[in-house]
Amino acid sequence: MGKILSKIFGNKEMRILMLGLDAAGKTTILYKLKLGQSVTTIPTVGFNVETVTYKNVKFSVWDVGGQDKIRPLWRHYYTGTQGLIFVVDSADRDRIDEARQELHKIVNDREMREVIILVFANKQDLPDAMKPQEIQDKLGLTMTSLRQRNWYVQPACATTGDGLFEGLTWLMSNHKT
Amino acid sequence: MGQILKLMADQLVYFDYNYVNYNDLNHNFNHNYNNNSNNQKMHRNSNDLNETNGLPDLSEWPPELSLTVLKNLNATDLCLAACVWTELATDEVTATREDITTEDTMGQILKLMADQLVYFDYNYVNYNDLNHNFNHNYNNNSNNQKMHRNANDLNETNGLPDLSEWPPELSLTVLKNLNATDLCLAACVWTELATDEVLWHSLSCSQWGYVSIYLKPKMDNFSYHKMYLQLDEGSVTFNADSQMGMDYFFKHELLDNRPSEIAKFFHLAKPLDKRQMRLYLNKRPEILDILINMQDFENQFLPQALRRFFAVLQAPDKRDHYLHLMVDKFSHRFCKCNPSLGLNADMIYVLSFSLIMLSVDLSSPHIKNKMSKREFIRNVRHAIHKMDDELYGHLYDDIYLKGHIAVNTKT
Repeated sequence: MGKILSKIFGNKEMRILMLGLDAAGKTTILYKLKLGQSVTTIPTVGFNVETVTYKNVKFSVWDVGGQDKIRPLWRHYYTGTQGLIFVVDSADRDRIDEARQELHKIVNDREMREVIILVFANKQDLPDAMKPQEIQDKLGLTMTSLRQRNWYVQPACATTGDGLFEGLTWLMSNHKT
Repeated sequence: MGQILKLMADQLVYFDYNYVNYNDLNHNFNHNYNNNSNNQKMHRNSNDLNETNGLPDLSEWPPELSLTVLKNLNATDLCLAACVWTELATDEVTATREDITTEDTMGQILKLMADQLVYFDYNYVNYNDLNHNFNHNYNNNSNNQKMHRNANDLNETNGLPDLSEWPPELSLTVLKNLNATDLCLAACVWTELATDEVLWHSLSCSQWGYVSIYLKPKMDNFSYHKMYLQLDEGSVTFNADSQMGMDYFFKHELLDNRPSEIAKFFHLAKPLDKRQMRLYLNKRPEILDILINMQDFENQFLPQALRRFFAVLQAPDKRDHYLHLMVDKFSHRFCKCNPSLGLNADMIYVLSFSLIMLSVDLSSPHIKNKMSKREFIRNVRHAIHKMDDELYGHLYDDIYLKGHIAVNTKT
């Protein structure tokens, strides 16, 4: 039945790369999205790749490391990526500039020119969390170099799951097929 | 000795219970068994053995039940069981098994078992160490081995060597090759040899290559046998909770609480659980440093060195800070061991991660388009500004053929 339905409505696949500074909440988001889905996960040493199916779209999400030295290695996975999820710790004002540099390095890569950018303004539950508007400014998303890119800042709280599926919905509706 | 035998029997009997068809057994027994299986860890603790009283007494069960259990045991386990429940083991009914004839007494079976085990271990004895005479003797016996296994022939051949008649150094060479279980069996036959202190010392050394207590001056009443039991108990505790285990080692003055001593202990101890070791090292990074400096990676191919490294120091399940720390330390050590390669620690670090990434790429079911050799080489070349496509190709082949670089064996 599922197969027939997917034939009628079309089963899309989308390859997503999830990046962000360490402790921004990438792994928590990944496993929160996975929760309740029956795909077996094999814990591996290295990095996490998961497939999440949401509203007929199969997302393969790559939770990759943010370490400076090995960043060039991730370049292999940039090719063919359609969406970038960039996770920001909204309460970490000290490192928001570091996050901005990181984001610009990624989206300006030759292989990443076409990707749509979803920013999860994570940890909105914390008292001192920056609001989406502030994050947007601090990340320099309104700068000229990024103005023509398709981006969106989604407030989220990974521990409760708030905002996560709204983010996926945005990715789905903005994904060009 | 009695305690160890009891302990051994306990373990083996539990193991075999798993294969017993529960439906055949009455509900009572099932209940009894489940309770006991929860206590299994405690049972292994030899000190607690007498207190827990969890060992089911076969003699209290209905005879048909006991027999069902005993029927599922093989000869070795039966002999061990016999050490605990003597009256049952000497029961003639157990002897109706195909491989044991009715005329056999338990003593004979034990003798037979010991015989087999000793013969088996002879294969590992370095013949050059043994005198020629014995060699000759052994060869004759080994031809007869098949016959020996036949319990009926046992009395006729008289081929069982008596260790006490051999020169002591010869007997010890034989006994050195036995593990703890076999030694306990041998002890059933040659009591005076099994209580030998040298034996327990070498047995300890084979399991725990280094413990501080080995080098300390000993009191007159010091017992290696007791030390072995303590080390065993400490290890069992460690494998359940590393901190408690270490506290046990310190409390019984087996191990000094100094980083260098602990590192040496970890480096050579076989019975310690790697996951617990990682948890402990997480708390004591100074030990991790020493431990890494004890690894010798000289003239080793990078993937092989990394595999060995992860075999000693288990890699974490999650991609977290600890993995980066470990790979960083590994890189520095590898670099120091192989100065002639012309690679600096940063390059080793990137190469190591490229291997970890490739491992995940090739083994993860979620990744459909696997990285090709050409892509791998191009990617690494891009990340590390050094042209050595041949090396990168070899790296790819190693992961492709041997599999994930750091498989976590869940224990």
